[in-house]
Amino acid sequence: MSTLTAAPAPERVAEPPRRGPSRRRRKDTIAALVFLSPQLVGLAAFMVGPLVFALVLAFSNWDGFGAATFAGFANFSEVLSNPRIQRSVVNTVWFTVLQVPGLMISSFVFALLMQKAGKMTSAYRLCFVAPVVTSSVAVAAIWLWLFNPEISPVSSALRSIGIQAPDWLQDPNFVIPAFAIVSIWQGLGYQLVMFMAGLQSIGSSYLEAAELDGCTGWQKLVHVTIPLLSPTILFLSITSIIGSFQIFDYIYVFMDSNAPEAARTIVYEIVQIAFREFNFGQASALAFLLLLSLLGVTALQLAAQKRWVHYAE
Amino acid sequence: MSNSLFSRSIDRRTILRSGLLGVLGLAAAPAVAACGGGSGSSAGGSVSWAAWANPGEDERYKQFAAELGKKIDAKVNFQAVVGDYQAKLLSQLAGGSAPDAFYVGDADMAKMIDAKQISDLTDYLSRGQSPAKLEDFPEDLYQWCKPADGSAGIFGIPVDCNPSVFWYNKDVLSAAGVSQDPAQLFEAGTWTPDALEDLLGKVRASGKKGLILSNWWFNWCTATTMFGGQLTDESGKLVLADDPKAQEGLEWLLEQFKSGNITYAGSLPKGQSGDALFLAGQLALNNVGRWALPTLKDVKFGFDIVPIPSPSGKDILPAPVATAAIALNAKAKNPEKALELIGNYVSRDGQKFRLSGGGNAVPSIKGLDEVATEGGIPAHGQWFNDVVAKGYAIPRAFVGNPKTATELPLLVDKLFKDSATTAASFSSAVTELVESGK
Repeated sequence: MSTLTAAPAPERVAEPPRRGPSRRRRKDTIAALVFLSPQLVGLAAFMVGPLVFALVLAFSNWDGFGAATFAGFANFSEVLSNPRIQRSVVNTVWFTVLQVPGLMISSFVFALLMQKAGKMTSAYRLCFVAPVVTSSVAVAAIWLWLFNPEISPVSSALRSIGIQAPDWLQDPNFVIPAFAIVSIWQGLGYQLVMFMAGLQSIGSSYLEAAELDGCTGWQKLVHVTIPLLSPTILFLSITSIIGSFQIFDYIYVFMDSNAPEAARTIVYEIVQIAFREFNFGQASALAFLLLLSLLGVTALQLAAQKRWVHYAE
Repeated sequence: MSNSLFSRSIDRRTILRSGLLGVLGLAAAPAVAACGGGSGSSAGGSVSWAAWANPGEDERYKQFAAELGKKIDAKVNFQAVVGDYQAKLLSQLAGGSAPDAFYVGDADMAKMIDAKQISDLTDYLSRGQSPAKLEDFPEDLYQWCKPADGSAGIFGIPVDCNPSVFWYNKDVLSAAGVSQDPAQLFEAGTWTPDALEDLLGKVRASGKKGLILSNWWFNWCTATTMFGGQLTDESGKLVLADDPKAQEGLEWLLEQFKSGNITYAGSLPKGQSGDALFLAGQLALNNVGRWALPTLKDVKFGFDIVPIPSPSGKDILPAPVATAAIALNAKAKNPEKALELIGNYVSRDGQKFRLSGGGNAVPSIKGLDEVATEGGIPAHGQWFNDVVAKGYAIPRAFVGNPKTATELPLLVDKLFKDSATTAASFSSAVTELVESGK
């Protein structure tokens, strides 16, 4: 056990007091806190506070007035067993399945095409980005007209060539695809810009090296471009899935508070249950379950990214 | 850095002084804010009310506020709520900042009463100084403002109303070969369900739409009384399933859906409802209230209104009447002035002021027929008043429970889209939903 014998402690040399740097650090910390405080106060008041409040409400019976009573897990079991909510979950997942790949693939394709647009790139980009900066309400108003089977120019054009356009917003089979079309149309510009930025950041040396190795255009795309774009793809897939699970505005403008079952999504149900049925407990429980689902999906995406995302040095 | 903002030492006295100033500032903020919007004080204090309003209504309501302020010697503020009225009102009520009086929609009244957010107006309406009395209003217009459990009290007064009538496009009918328009048929005593069916068939044959109905009670309930049936009994109980005439009406409606004479519009309140097609000259009949008038004033085609047909061909039968009510906030800061505001708002003078000059509703108070006939547009505007006198607001059975109120349109939508639905299955499903919400 001799090895454990403690070595003689070195003599401590009395250091001169170093009050300057520690005082400066403290001042810097205070300064940083003062500068951050507006944001922190906002974060606490509008994000953390409501989140905690919603969590408390999820375990309460509260109609928006008066005192809340403890409900245990009743709200969760009610939400999970409600067939209307189950349908809205299916609708939301179906929307995500249609919208996320549809949006990402179309954005990627257009971004690739835009690489070859030359002087017209800015004009095309403006056209694609215009819907992004247009409010969802205005977008929905335009599409409400375009989806109208009676007076839509699209339906008329299809009829003229012998194709009967579906009654998009009335037909239970087409209403969610209709939302996906609008969402893809509006979201295209943002993802296009992101993909274009990603494409421009790929060093030409990689592609030149691939060319010297005899790669075809397709092989360069699959084996060089897409792997090097994978961080962008990961980021867009995470944000797209979160966004698609939160679809609400189009439905509200298209259908007001009167959407049929085939058109209802989770967030739409949350608003309906809270503000139409005065059941804030159940609405919060559903919101909390949505949060957990999104956290789970995002965690899976982040876990899987180790296998397919390549970060260029 | 010696003169930088953060290099100064902050002593305890400075902190206390700053804190005191901050607290004083916060305490003074409401007073400053209250003074900001005003232009002097009134002896009676201030009173406020909130309502949903389009730009035209907003302007008119502000004029009304100015006039009323002089009359009741108080500063009257109007809060126009744009967007989701109900959500905003709920937030205000929860935060204790709701106005003294506010509009309440039919689906929310029962909950507002149950949660004690609004006050009973019975006492005020029976007082001598109230400019409007309960007996001035058609009884069936305010039943939904009573507690759902049948107990006493009246918690809201209909501000105005919109009866369910058919607006028709004369040009579309004429092009379809309809020789007598619905108003002429009514005046001749031949405006029956058969006449309506015949008219719809001709329009369909011409390639246009005859009539579009939605899952809103205002639309589909017209069929339940068209053959002389009843939707509810005198106690407010739903009797749809037990009334053979109501069943006949529903059966007729389902047949019209199947034949294509009437198009089911599903649950689309905007854009794809009958309004757009009616304005585009693609629809012959539009089942809406007087709110259609402002958009019709500049159209090129001829139009008029007609009541829902009846078996006799000349009677005006009970028909749905859409309405909203104004209610007194139970925590009103100035309840006496708020009551005066409500009384004046729904009084004859108040309604005349608000609805004259191209208003989009019909007075809910008796004795103001001239508002609906104003300018002779539409030609038979008097029928608005006649339908209101016999009509009924949304049955309490439909809105006594908020969950029932939200699920009823969903159920109706599902039933109308199901080709296997019969009058009996429709009625029993609706009745079951209503009973489950009790």
